[in-house]
Amino acid sequence: MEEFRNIPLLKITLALILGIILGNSLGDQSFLAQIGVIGIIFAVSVFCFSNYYLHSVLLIGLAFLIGIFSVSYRNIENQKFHFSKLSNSHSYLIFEIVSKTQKTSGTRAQATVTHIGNHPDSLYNCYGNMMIYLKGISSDSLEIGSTLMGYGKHEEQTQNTNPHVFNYKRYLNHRGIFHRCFLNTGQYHIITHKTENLIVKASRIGSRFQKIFASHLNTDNNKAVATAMILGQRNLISNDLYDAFTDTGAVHVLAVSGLHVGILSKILLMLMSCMPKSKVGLRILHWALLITALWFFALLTGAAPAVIRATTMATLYFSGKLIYRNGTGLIVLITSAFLMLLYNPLYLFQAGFQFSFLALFGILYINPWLVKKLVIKNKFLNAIWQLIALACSAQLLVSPLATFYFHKLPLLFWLSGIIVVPMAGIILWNGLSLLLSHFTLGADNIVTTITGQCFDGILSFFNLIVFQIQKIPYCSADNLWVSNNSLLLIYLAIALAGLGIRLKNSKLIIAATMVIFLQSLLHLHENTSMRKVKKLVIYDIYDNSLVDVFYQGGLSPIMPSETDENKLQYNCLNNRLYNRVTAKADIELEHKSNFYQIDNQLFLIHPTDESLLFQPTADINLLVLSKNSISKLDIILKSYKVKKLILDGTVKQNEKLIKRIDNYKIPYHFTSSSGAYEHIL
Amino acid sequence: MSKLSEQIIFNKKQRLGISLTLIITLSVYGYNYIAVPKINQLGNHESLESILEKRNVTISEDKVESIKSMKSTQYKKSKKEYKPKKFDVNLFDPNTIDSSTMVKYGLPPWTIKTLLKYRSKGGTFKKCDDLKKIFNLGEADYNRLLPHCNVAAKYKTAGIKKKRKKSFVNNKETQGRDTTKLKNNTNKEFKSYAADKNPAIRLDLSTADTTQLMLLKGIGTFYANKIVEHRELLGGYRSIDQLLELWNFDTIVYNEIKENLYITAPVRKTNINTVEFKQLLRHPYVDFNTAKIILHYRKHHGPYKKIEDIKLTRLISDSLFLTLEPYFDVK
Repeated sequence: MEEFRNIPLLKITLALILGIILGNSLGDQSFLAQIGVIGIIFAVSVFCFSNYYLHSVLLIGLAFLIGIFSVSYRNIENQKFHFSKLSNSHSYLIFEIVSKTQKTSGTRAQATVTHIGNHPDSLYNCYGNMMIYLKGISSDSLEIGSTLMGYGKHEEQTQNTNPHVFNYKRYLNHRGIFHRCFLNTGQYHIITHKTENLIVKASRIGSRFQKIFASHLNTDNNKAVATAMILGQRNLISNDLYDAFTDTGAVHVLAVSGLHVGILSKILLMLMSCMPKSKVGLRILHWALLITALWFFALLTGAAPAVIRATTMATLYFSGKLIYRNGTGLIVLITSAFLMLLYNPLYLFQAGFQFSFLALFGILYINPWLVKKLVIKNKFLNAIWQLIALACSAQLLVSPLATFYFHKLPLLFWLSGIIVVPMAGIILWNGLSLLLSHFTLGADNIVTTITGQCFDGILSFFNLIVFQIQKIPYCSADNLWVSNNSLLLIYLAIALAGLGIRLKNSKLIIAATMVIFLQSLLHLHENTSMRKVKKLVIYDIYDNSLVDVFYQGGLSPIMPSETDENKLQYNCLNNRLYNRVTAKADIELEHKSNFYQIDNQLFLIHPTDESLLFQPTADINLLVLSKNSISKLDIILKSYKVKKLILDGTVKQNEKLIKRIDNYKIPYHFTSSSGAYEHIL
Repeated sequence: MSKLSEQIIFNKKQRLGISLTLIITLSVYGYNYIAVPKINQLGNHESLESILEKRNVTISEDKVESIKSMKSTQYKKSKKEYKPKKFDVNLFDPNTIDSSTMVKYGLPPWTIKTLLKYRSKGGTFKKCDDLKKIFNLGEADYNRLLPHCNVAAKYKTAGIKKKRKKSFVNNKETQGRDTTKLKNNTNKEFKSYAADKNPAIRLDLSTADTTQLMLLKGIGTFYANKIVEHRELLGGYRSIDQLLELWNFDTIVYNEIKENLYITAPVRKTNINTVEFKQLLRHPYVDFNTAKIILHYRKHHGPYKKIEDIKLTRLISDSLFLTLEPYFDVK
């Protein structure tokens, strides 16, 4: 605990984090009131400077309030010059492409809006990010940094209303994107591809490098891995490749992070080792070149939170070395967290930031202790043990969160850690050598060609190993569900155990054991209660119909025969995992002509003409109609007694339809406007 | 001092450092909120041209115009404006104009056909207004052609051409024969059918043949055949007013003849449990969907026990059932 006491920034950072969490959950608060309170506390703290204890408490309180304030500051309600405040929903906009993704009928682009207005002769200078869907244009026709002008309607991002589905709206909001806009052909024009933005220029250089790799590599997988590992661009990674890396616990290698920055730092230090450092000026030059190269790499690879964290830590570390100050890894880690959260408090809610800090905390705090537990005299075996210990240290803190997000736990991460991590260094070396050779010697030079072939061979071998590890039985545990409470208890147990081991306090270890036991009981209780659930869920899917029947641990999906269920996974998979249903149970639902009898309740789901021939003996508890069966609405409601009507996502709510239904005076629910419907049996 | 307070407390240097950090943080926020918008001129409005000038971007005026007109392009409904074709029409005589000229003048084929048929049957246009006799000549076409119509003088006084029929009376071959009957016979074709009608006749609609039906006023060959055909398809008439179901049957004719008709024989019923789909479809009161649903229900639920059971199909309304019920039964 001594080491934590020596990091004053830790308490400030914790206070800041708590403030950010509270600020995010409170939502929109009075901006001016917050400024007022901060001002008052600050003024009081100045007068209380001589009182150690009170002043310290006030500073921690101030950090907490700044955390809340920083979230409010980013709320668009408090942003005067956000584009949504300066114009109507239908307006002209000038925007610059920040990133682009090819879609089926066009391009989806994340863009920064620079001007907005109702008339092209009166456009307001503004700011703000938006997701823009450009129909009828290929992403190859656009460049990062391209400026376009369009006319269209911008609207707030909508949220998928199906239960337990990934909250895409919140994901985008945490990245400062609150709106979206759909522009058809003819509603937008490219103004220019020129840009003065450094970040954009760096991204364009990255795209150029990607083409160089593509010219030397043979297979799609090799191109995808090289581009992801060296340039941070993951658009070429196929689903199969991604699954292989996820199952083997090697997916962190595909995302540019501390591993890459660390390897790059070593390469740069090696290259610059011949530079003299005797004079102060030369030392500063050495430092400046190193830091510039690292930050250029960070911008080149898209400035993800993990790489920003690593580059910030590297900057702090080398800056400390410049002034002959050696900070411990923890101090540098906490300082970089503090600085990053001050810059953008919403980093706290991004998975990349969370994984990056947790993994490195595990490596800095747990790894030294773990490595000492087993000392092997053989150097080679000792090196392997160190790699295993490193992988275990990182995974211990990352696995619960990864299981929470991705519902998967890789069990052979230690094996991939032995092989993948060293190979990542070789791949990075080779990739940089290829780029260097390409620019200095030329693309057709024999050295470049040989380097390219070696690079291709290494990547093929690398991918082969990953796919072979994936084939090992029980490589990963899939379809896991960790609830919020379980996650908190797991981390509490890890924290108590860690503290107990370091402080050699057996009470803390016992407490950790009890927390784990409590978490297991909770998990068991959740599983048991879910297995008793009997309910129908009518999903809101705009172009398909799906009804899931959960019955005592089993599942029976009801959908039209021509539906491809794989396309519906996004909407229903999480809910099925939540209900602890991993495979379709062969539930014998008593049904005839789309009438379903479940526990003395009768349901008519997606009726057909045949259904009209059936004479039910009881009232219909729930009638579910889709766009294919909506035409039978009147005849069914006239012929049968229906207690509730559900119209699924394929039926859009409109006044005419509501008037039709109102004539029958039965309760109804449109999933397209009110969200998915759950009927408990 | 308690352990907790020991954990929270900072020394003087640390407090100074933290204070300075927080001051810098708040200053940066303040600068971003107050100064940066002014520097970047946020909230100011400018025109598209000035924005392009600032960015050193040059685009053509056409492109600027197309960008500016994006709003109107978006909301303009793509209605196809109807523009009638223009035809170059010269003076013409409807009694002599040929078909290719009529096509050039924009007349549709069916109108051309009707006009030619009218002329071939002996029809003459005495004046331009007689174009209205062509029943499928549209008003727009009539108005367009009328100013260019010019009937020749010889047609203005022409009568209807009558086909000269051979007169057996004046024929040299029949000379010397008693031609009274022949005279009467030749006049027969000019006799009105009305003379054959028997206003007092009473016919059984269930059994009358076409010859008998033609004795009724207003019933000619066409409707006589139709009446019999309808009867065969139905299986018999239940009431006289079923004659109104015939295509274009005039109510005036119906009112004149209804007193002359009566029904004796009952209708012929069809067994709903054995009837085939095509046979059922031939019945005038049964359409495709009704036939399908009747047979579908029979297939899934077995034979109908009574005729009312067809209402269980849910698609046969009460009114339809009332029309079908007399013609079907179960055996």
